[in-house]
Amino acid sequence: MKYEAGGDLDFQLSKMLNGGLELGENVQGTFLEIELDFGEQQVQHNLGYTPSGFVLVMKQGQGDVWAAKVSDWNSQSLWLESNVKNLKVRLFVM
Amino acid sequence: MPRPDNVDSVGKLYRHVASPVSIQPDQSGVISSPHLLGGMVRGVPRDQLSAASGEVVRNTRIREGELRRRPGTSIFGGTKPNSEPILGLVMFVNESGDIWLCRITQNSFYVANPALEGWTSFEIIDENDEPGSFPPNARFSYSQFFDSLYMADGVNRIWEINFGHHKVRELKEAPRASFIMTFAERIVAAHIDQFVGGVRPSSVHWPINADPRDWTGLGSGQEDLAMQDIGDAIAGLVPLENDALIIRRNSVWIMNRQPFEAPIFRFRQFMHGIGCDLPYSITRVPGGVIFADQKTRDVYFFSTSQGPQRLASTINEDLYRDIEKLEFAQGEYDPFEGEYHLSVVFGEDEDYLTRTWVLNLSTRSWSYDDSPEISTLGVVSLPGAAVAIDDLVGTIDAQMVTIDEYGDPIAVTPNLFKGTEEGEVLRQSYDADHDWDGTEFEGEFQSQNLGSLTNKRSFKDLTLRVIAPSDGDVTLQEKGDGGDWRFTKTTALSAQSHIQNVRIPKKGQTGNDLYWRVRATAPGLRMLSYWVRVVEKSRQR
Repeated sequence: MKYEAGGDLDFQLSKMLNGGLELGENVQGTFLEIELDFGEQQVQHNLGYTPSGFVLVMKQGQGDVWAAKVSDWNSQSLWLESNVKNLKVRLFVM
Repeated sequence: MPRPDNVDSVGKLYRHVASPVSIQPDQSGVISSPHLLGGMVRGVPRDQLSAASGEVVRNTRIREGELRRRPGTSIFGGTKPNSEPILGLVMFVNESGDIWLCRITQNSFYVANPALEGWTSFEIIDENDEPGSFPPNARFSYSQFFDSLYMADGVNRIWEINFGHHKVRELKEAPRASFIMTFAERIVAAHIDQFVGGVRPSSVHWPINADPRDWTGLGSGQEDLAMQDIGDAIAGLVPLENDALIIRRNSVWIMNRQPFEAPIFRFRQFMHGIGCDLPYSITRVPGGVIFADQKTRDVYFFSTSQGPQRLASTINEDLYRDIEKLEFAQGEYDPFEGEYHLSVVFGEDEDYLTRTWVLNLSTRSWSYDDSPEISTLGVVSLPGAAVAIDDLVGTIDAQMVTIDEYGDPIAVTPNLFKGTEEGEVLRQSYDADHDWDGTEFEGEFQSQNLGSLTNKRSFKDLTLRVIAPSDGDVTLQEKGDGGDWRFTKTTALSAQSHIQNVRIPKKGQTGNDLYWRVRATAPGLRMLSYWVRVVEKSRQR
């Protein structure tokens, strides 16, 4: 949950620190939900900065995904590689 | 022998006895208050009371720092189209800036618009393309999407009102729901009647993005929150900026939009132990939401940044005494005056809303109206004198639309509308001196107990300072020790722009418990301040 300035600090801290922190709201980064082809591919993240990595949140199917061409990552896109085709994944890029 | 310090200029000896009572005379023996803005306060210990509050505050409003007799009511819209009880009054503003006032009864849907004369009837068509109707004594939940208004009545499928075609159509594809809201570019529905399978009071359904007719395609879905807490029925939905609140009988939940197609929404419990069992009291206000809960006997302001704040501690016993038909009670917010109105069915064997409690959100003070009897509240504005509201922050209606979104300023005059059980649409404003049926209602303020714990006292020279915008009567009275109201003094005021004094001069009521009250039928009477000189009698043994 988001912190709202001007509100009750104790109340909000209690809510946030007891199971209220969220990847999408309180941690810098973005979710990506994509379907990967076999091999290397460029994926847009549009974070505005070069990400340091990602967390695999969900993978639908057999196969694996990993970082590729890390030196070519930039503020708008990154490279991933998959060993299968049509692999649906949900990543948190940060 | 020098004069003792505790003797005033007329030689009276004042016993400065330490007392736990908070309302005390000053050194010259006068109890006074520079205003009457404390609202109605009962059931609070006498060491915590203010002289500006009253045991009874009735048919009044706070305006510009003064307590005033409330506005009167008058008929709106000319000849009424029928005499059915009005169940819904709602304003709709389309993308062109046209403003429509919708008048809803069980068997009719009429609309008033400045471009049309009088009331225009809209055809009601049910899911079988037959003439339709609404449930008797229904309450409605509204949602605006694109250029249409949507309505849920808890029995039928969601209705779509098309203002271009003048039709109210039950959507075949939509669920039967009690509550709807606009959130995440779609209508979200809750408290679902599945027809086959029964009512699911904790269930939430939603269609695909931007299409209220497709409730099964990609992006649609449903969630039954009963898995987490059976019996905690949903009482209402409130969209905020990025989240939405689901207010249930015993808890408050938050609904977030996620950046995925499935599941597009996430639900989590935000607070338990406080909920709402007067579903149509739930009203969005600046910064949060207000709702009433009979189970915990209070009215709450709730925001995600502050949690619940109790608003009705000073009047909760009076608010919840003898009220019936909790599902018919209704709350609305008047954004122009900053007031929350809560209308309830008060009194045994009553069917309609006989009492309206009004909370001024600036002063957090309450009063109540005991007239007129109504069947519904509506908070609307119609084009009139040029008061541009394009820079207004907040929503005009709890579940409808943000006026700021529209490009050109909409010239509106603030009005509070109400509907009656005989089909009249009433407008409440200071243009009307009394109520629409001729009732010269009384605006009343009754003081707190101004007596002493240890001594008998006498009132002497009660003075109420007023401004009377119109001719009318003001009556002052006093009583003591459980007796009748006495020392009645009625003053016929003439309209004047300067302050006038209304008085009970010389010696008045004597007793341990002392009260005074004012009852006024003078239109728009402004009650500014009061003072009363008290004389201490012998100490009680």
